Amino acid sequence: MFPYGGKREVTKLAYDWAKSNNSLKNADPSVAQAIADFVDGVKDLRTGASRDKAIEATRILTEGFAVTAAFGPGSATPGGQSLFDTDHTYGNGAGTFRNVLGGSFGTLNDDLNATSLQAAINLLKYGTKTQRGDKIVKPDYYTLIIPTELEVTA
Amino acid sequence: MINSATNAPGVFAGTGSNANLINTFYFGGNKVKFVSNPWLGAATAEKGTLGNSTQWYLANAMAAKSQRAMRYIALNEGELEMWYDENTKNRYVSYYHACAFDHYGAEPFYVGSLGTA
Repeated sequence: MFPYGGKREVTKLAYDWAKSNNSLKNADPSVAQAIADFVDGVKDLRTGASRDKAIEATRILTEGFAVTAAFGPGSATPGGQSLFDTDHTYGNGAGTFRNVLGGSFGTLNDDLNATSLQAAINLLKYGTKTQRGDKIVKPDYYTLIIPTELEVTA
Repeated sequence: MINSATNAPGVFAGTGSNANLINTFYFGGNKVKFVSNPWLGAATAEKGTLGNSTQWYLANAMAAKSQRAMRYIALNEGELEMWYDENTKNRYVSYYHACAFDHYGAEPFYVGSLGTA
């Protein structure tokens, strides 16, 4: 769970004006300024909340290489493996598949390059399996997720 | 790498001549959408450094989405509250929410590589 909270202070005059349900047109200028500051504060809170959501979502990927938690980022798959592993089981143990490079699909933890990207595409095309052992439906496009440092490389 | 003469953006890639706009390319006969995540390898105050700046991932996002393999779980959609503190004589506005993310059978839809950090 990722709780997020924050608070912003407003002036007594602005608070009372807000409670009065009147237009800002006739309000003291300080009230309009205080309300504007408050709006900025709420935007900050919203931005902070979005930021924390993005961090938490990213952690699902970055902490997926080892089982370190019971749930959420770093938690195990239904088969007890880390999210990224070499031997995910399918079909009640009928076989295993990998979703990291290596074996017939390039080199484990290879840097991003044309060869490793093609190996990753091949892995998603015919290396990974559903629980029934079927290949995964091919998407309209594959999504390559990279840190900003690899933008030029990509 | 994917923005090369042989791996050119197609008509599906949108408009403009800048890579920020053209983010879907042909690569070896496949379409690859390019997503830069600024949080990968970033240092955060709350959770430390998230991974490293060499790791990369390839996703079959459409299949993952159809199977709801990555889930955002809203535990508290958000509470906006205003109150007056008798002791400090201040008025406050607070916002609080709680959420969680988890994976449910996402392993066939994602490939990950740590790179050589």
